Amino acid sequence: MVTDVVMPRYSLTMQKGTVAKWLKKEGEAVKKGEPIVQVEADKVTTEVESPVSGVLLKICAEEQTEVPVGEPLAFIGKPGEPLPETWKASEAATVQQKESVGLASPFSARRKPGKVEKVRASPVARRLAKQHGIDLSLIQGTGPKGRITREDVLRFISLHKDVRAVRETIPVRGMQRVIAERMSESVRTAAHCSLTIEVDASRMIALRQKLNGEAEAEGGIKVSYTDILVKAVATALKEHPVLNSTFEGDRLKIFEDVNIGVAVETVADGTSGLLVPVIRQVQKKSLLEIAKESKGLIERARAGKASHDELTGGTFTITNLGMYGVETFVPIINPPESAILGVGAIIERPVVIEGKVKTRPMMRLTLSFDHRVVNGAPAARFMQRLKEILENEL
Amino acid sequence: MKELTYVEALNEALREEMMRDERVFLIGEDIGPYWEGAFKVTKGLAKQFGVERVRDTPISEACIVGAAVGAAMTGMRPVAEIMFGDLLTLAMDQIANQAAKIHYMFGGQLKVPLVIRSPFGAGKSIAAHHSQSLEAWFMHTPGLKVAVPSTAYDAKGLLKTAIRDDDPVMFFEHKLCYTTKSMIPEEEYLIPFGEADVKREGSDVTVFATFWMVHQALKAADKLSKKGIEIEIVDPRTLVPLDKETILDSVRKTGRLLIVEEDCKTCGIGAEIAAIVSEEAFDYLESPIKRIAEPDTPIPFSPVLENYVIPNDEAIVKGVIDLLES
Repeated sequence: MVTDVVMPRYSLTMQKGTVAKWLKKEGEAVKKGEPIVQVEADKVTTEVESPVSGVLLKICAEEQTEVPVGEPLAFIGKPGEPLPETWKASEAATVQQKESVGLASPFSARRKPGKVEKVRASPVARRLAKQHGIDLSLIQGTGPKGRITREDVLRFISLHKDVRAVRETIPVRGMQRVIAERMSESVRTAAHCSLTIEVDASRMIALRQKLNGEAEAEGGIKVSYTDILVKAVATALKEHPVLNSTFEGDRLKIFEDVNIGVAVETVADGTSGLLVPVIRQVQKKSLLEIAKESKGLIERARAGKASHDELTGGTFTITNLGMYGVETFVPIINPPESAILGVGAIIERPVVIEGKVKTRPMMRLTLSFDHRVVNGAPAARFMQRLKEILENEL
Repeated sequence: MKELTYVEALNEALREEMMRDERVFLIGEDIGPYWEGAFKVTKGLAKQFGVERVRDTPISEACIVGAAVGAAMTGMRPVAEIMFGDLLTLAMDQIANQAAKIHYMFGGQLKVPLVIRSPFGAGKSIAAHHSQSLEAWFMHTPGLKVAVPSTAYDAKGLLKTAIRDDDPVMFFEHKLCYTTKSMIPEEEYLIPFGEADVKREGSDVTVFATFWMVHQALKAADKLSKKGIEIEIVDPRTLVPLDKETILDSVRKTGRLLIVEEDCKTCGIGAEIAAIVSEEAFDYLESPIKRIAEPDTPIPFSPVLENYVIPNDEAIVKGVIDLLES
């Protein structure tokens, strides 16, 4: 019997995944439970295991093509066994899917492999277009039967000549492609509005020093400023739940639990990436529990080992660029959340206290929120409460 | 410089090589003092070198080539003449099974420095047994070199190279080329094998042609030039070895290839040239490769029908225009 291996669904929201790398070739024997293909979904690369032992009869999707959840990736069976008749229909569906993937820029980096060509172009025109990274569908052919000729491509190049010499062209896929889609979706849909407030970080510093002093003595977990902020933000969100929400077109869904995502830079193959591991039910956790959990999460995220669940399900995000000396910045909301907090550096600043100028370690926090569902005053009250917690209640 | 016909140039090459090297001798039907060759290529040679070195034979092509192969193996440098290329079939075992293979079969200890001269080509209304162009057969036989000169200049330089070559060389001539003339240098010259000649430079379409088709292509080029179309005519001069680079370079420049061959289309040399270009220069093509060849029929005796099957300059003009529009 021929068994199909389909694109798995790793999360409730997952619609499709990208075939990252085939680990087996057609005709190769596979054992049950053996990984046969790497699949990228959202930001995670996962290995798909063979459900049965047999021979990999057919690879249905080339590398770097997207496959909808539930559609076949491969068929496994005995050598020479015929593929199911239904396969042809789904093959057509996948091809159509691939065709609909548009190329945004005329000088797009690469063609989708396996894409069905509709463009009439001579071999030399194709070669030139490929060399210059030109999408042939943008060129009007003047040759016989509308064929695109070498001259057509050269004319297109001279018309669109880019005076900027290209050092290298990097295909954007996988994680960065998801980030690109999410960020532009966020800016396109959410009504971004931001508020900045300055917080006296003296108590944060004192608390951290105290806890880390103890941790050092007892070999415990060290606490970061971000951990303290996670705890404080959770407390403030429980009191201002409108920010702990998601907007669904005609309704605002406010969540019971506060699940806070922490933006983490990952570096793989010399390329900077961005992941947001999520600490769940923060309102129920102590600062030390948060510190311990976030340390593990961040380590797994950086090692590329965070699970899909650990990277999804957030209700609010904190992003901290203070360690780079950034004083203030306006982050983009991480959809489908309603708000995000951008954390700046703690800097000694002159402040006036009871008529006298004193220096204080000050930190600027910027809230970006979706003004479609949260108005300025409630957002401001949240920030006011957060400041109060950080300055007086730690 | 002097102006010589193709026949005179061949005659001069034979004379010079016979004077240069005593081992060179000629063997064939009616090449001696009484007839001096059906096309007069051996004119005056028997008188100058004697009948020992310009040997008439009975009418047996197998005997001519067999004797020549044996002589070559024992150290002579025979130049055999087969009166019409069509009659090479009678010597085919000696050519394809003996001459071509001996060097291999004896582990390289023996060589066969043999030249077989023979004319191809239609256009003289001498019917199906005297009009074929069979060079593709020999191009398909490993161990043979194949020369296909189109002009008197090329014919002389290539024949001298053929005689000095240590491998069996099928030296094909063309009946209609025999009366064409070239300017020939007074001093000695040789043309190496495997060097194609660009007979005319152009930028729009590469035309690959041999023998009489080169002359037709040159006529077509003048007509096309008046229409603003410039063709580049590549004459390979030898099919084995083949100068692929010159062909590929030209196609890389023009992006279009028209092959003109005086042979039936199926499995002709054009099929091989087209395959090489699509294998090695596909990414430079602007349109599909086109072949103009004879239909897969024997050459008709009727002059009207014969003219109909042989590609001419008008067919090439039309082929080039079709190629630019296809």
